[in-house]
Amino acid sequence: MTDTSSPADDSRGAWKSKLGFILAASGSAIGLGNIVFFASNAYQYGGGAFYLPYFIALFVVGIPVMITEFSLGTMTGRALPLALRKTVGKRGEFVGWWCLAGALFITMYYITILGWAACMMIGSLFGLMEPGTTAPFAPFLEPSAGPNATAYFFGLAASWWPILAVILMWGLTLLILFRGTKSIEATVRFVVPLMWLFMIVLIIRGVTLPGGFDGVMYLFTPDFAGIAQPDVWKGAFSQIFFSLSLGLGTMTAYASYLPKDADQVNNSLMVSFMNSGFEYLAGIAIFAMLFAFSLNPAGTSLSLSFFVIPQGIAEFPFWVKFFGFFFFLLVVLAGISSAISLVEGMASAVIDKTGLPRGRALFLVAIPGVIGSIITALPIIVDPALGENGTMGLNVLDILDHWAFSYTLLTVGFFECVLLGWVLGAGNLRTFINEHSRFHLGAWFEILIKYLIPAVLFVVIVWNLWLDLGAGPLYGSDYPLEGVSWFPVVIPIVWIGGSLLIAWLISRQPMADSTMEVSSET
Amino acid sequence: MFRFLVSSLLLWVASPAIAQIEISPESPIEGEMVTLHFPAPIDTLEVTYRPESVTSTSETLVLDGATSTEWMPTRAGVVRLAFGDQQTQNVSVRFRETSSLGLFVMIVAGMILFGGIGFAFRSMLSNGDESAREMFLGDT
Repeated sequence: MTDTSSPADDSRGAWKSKLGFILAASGSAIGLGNIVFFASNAYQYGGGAFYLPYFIALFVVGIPVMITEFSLGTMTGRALPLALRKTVGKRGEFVGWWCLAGALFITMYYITILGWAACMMIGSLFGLMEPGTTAPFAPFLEPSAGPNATAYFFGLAASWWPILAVILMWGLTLLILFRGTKSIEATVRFVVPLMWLFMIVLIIRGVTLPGGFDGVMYLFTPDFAGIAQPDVWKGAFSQIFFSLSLGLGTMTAYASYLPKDADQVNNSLMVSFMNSGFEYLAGIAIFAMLFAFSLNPAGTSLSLSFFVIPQGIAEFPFWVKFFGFFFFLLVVLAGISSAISLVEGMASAVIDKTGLPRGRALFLVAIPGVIGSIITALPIIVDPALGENGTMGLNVLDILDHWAFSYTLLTVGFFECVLLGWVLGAGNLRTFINEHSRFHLGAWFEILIKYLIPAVLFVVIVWNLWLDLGAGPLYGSDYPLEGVSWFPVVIPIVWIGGSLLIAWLISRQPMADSTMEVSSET
Repeated sequence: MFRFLVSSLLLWVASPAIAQIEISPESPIEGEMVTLHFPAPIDTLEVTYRPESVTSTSETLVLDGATSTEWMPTRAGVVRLAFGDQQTQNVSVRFRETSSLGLFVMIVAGMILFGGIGFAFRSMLSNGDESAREMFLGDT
């Protein structure tokens, strides 16, 4: 088996407790999208019937890949790029850096969205839940007769407040990460339980609204008409990957701070069930609220979080501002716990590669990150009426998100399984995992890692590529992008070209630690 | 995460005008007759159950210039009523009785997920030589 011994050493950092790791990893998985993503997908794909493909995806793809990513971290004591290098060689390191380059793009707009959420949180106490809202383009030029979350969002996004919020969110993220596992653990011990508590409060509020329980039944009552549709299954497999934050390097980085004998089967079960459990509760709260006010749960995470749900909260019979603030505080907490893992995944990889002190590594990651976040927020500020309806900035963000998020995670997951399954050897991986796990994985795990999961991910990736490139116009081509109609072409080129270049440049650099080369023993 | 941000956003921003249909009773129930009063005479009313989903179904009611009609919702859930020049209004149709299948799915899904959390947590506590205190607080 490849020599991968490298215990988590104090100089690199280590979790103080098992619970700290579980809270951090579950906080990483539970992000901005978890609050509404499952509810939206369940609505679109048949309600309770969606649980069938969802659970199959969770057990067949999600949990096994999480076990693999966690084990990679504890096996090597390194973040993703060097963990892959240690186990499968330089090709692996390139894949790891490509993953983190994609994660950098994702982090840029993720923190922008987090900034918007923070602004809406403060706005809940002021104008968000009040009439008279305007935005600097039609149809929001005249003050609204009642609360209008859409107008408020666009009015806010067109101001300079999001830039301040973005800088604050980045500052908060870096502050939390500055002392490594010590400060991360201290933060998640406070933030993650609070998220659960807030979600329970929202559930109680939702189901006690008139018709609230009917909304819950609407979520869970299965509509099997769509279950045979391939889109439903593709949606489920994609969602579980995105929902568990796999293929981003975060889980491997967090697990690298665990001792080598950590039980990764149990850890994976715990984190996966906590993530899906949170989505379950969030679905109840969202459906109860939206049904009570006849609002459609279909829509994107952004439109549900920033427009539909606040509009529903504005209809509450009492404590409207409190619940508005409460909801966005929940969104901010979920976003922070994910943002710190995204940045940590990158920073820890830089530390492993270069030997730089933590502060400098964080600085190196933050510079392009902050610039990218500000650039993401700028278009809608500079000219909110771009695209005639204020959506220019969001169009750009959406196109980048579509390419960077979808393809990075699934492609990295594919290569993780192929490289670890075939180069390291699924048998070797299973042996390592079973050495330290109470629940032993059978040979089925090897079949999943080597054959089934790569096949599923390959089909989903190719299907998405066919839809994006072959079945119709390029993604985003039908958006109103006057003057910048070349964006749908340029953005994916910038993403793929930029991320490959970053990965190639960094992986060519010499390593700080010469013991990192792959060695093997029989 | 934030897929398909703008496609639905554009739908939302450029949404059709909200109609002012009077619905009686205000909280209609599946399988029970509902009276709809429109602000002006209309020719047809499109009723879409579970709009914007893969399982949405529609039916068209022909009104021929009437200002009111009776309608029996055949499915519970959020229903979109559309007429004229993109005038739409949503209404939540409640279940005739608590959906036993929905309750079943809710309980089973909850048991799998939260039972799984409990199971993994119990295993974590019973694994190894660490005390529960060390598990929670770490080495002190």
